[in-house]
Amino acid sequence: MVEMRKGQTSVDIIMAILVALVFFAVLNIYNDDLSSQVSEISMKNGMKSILLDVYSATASAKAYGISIDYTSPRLKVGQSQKPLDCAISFRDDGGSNDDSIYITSGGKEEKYNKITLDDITIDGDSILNNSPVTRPCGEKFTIARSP
Amino acid sequence: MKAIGNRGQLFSLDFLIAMGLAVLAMGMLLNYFETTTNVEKEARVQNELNIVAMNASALVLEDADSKCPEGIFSAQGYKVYGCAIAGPGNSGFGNIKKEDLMIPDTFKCDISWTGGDNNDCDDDPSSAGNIASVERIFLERSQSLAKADYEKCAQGQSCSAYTQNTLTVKIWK
Repeated sequence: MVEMRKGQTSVDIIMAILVALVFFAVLNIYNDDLSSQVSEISMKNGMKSILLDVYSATASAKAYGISIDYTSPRLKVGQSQKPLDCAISFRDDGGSNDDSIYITSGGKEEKYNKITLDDITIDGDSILNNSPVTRPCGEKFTIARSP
Repeated sequence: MKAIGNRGQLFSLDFLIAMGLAVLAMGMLLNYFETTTNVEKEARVQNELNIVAMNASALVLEDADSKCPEGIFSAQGYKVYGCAIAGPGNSGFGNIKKEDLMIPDTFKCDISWTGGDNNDCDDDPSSAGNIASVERIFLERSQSLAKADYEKCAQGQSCSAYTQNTLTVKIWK
């Protein structure tokens, strides 16, 4: 057995430091990747929530024949204070009974498609004839069932 | 003690035990995070399914094909609430399309009621994971409705004009 001198660094501690360094380097890369993924998922979830809210209001207007003055939530990602630009779009995709509700922001989109919106009007505008009706998130508009 | 202090020995028993415990603790922590994330995700998916199912069930009962004709009642100031014609086969509820119920194409559905199934929403939910199931009670006209029957029903007397049925809407992905 070789005795250690005072102040000598042991192999154990050098190994531990090396392992810790590698671990933190990998953790840092993982965290960066995770942060970008979280931001993307958070944006997707925000868009899905708005989509679900618009969809629900539209379905209520259609089911009960009522007119709803609707204001959508604004799109915010994580803890950021500044809302992101996003748009709500009601579209006739061409085919029979082939309408959709889209939420778009920064080149990304969430949608519910193949739903019939023929008898729905947005601020009095019909969704028929391939003319999408688009409104920015956070602005008020009226969803109604045409008589 | 001699064995512990051998040359070339890198890890002490204490160190190995400590590492084992640390790995165990980290594993438990990661498992907790994963479980929490999964629970949140499941809740979000279930919420979406519930909303689609509730809207679809309301649309079934309010669809023009399934509404009870009001006939002379509206002229006399009466309105028949909660009445629908489920109908057999292709009439009533059976005739309503999935698109008309605002069920997006990424969702699967199964709509049934006492004595019938919808033709367009007839998927098999047996292998589905999360399912939203909504039941709504409705009244089905069992005979040609007369004003006297209507008043009898409104007064809570023996009401033979309607049969109480249940509509079940199941939605999953």
